[in-house]
Amino acid sequence: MKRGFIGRLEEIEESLSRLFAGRVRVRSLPPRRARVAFLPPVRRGPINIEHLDSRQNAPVTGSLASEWRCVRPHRMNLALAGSVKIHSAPLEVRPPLTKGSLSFGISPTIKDATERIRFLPQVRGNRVRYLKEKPFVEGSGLIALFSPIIKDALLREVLERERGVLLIWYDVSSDAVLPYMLALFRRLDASQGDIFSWRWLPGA
Amino acid sequence: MSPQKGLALGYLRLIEEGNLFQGAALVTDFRGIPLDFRYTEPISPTRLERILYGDALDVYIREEVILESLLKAVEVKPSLWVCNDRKLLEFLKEHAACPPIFLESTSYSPLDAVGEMVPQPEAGAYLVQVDPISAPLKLIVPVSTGEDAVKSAASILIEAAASMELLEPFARIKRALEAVAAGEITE
Repeated sequence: MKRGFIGRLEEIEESLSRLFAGRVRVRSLPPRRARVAFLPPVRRGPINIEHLDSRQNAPVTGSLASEWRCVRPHRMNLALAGSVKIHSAPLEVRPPLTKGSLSFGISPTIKDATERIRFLPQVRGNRVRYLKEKPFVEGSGLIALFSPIIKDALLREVLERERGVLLIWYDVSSDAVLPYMLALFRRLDASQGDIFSWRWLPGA
Repeated sequence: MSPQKGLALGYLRLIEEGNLFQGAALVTDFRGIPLDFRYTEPISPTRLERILYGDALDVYIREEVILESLLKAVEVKPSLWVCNDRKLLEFLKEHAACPPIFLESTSYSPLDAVGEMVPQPEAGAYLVQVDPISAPLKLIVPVSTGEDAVKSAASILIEAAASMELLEPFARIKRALEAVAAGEITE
């Protein structure tokens, strides 16, 4: 047992020698003046080893790191204490838990804009190309048909020429429900003045 | 055909632009007149949230954050929820109080008669002629929706199409959100 202990001390001595030797500065000198650099001997200082006999079977106080995920050490070795037995003990100490709710997730803000969207017009596209039988008006040609439109609830309509669509605004308080079609005719015989005319037709 | 009073259509629109998510729900009567309109403020997930949620972030924001909040907030319950994103159908089927459908315009010639339905190769998809002077619409219902439920949805659409343009509210929602962003609409 003693040899083992002394052997460990020698290992430590060697380790320390290596440690300090690595920190010694080596300076280069001109070739003619070169000489062997003097390295001071490594001193062996006194090392006190505390006997832990009286602490045998003492429970091990675990670190926070060892408590992580309930890791339980079954065997622990001390580098310098070859003769000292350390008994493992189950860790009973647990890290304190923080109570409270954890806020996690994305929560949106919902807004109500029902009254405001009522100011936006509805859009009706031109459906003339889907007509199998086009309404005939003498001296006029049908160029656009917008449907369905609740004629009696209509407040205002605007033809948007660029897109060829009709914008319509309804009276939201109206109870009217009967749908109509609004047809746009171009008078073939008119060269000036009102060449366009609108006509309401019964719903499809 | 005159529209039936008391029935309403609900429109759900989600907008995703870059890192911004926004949603809106518009419930209209059968004339297209708004009865209820709710929208979410734009949501911009942080980098940390993107890391935490990973690939599930988009679905989480679309469904649990935006749709669920809108469904709870809307006070006027529609006869149908109409959405323009078919990915929302399954979630709406589970969480909405009324049947959800996806509706889209097509460029097909009109079918022979109003009410005609032509099944499409895609599961739950149909072409439906809802009025005599328009192209048929593409209707998609959640997978496993029964035949009666599909016919019921189609009949509601046909009734509504007599007095309103069925897809028009989607554009109105977009204009409303643009107006909100520009400060033209505030509450």
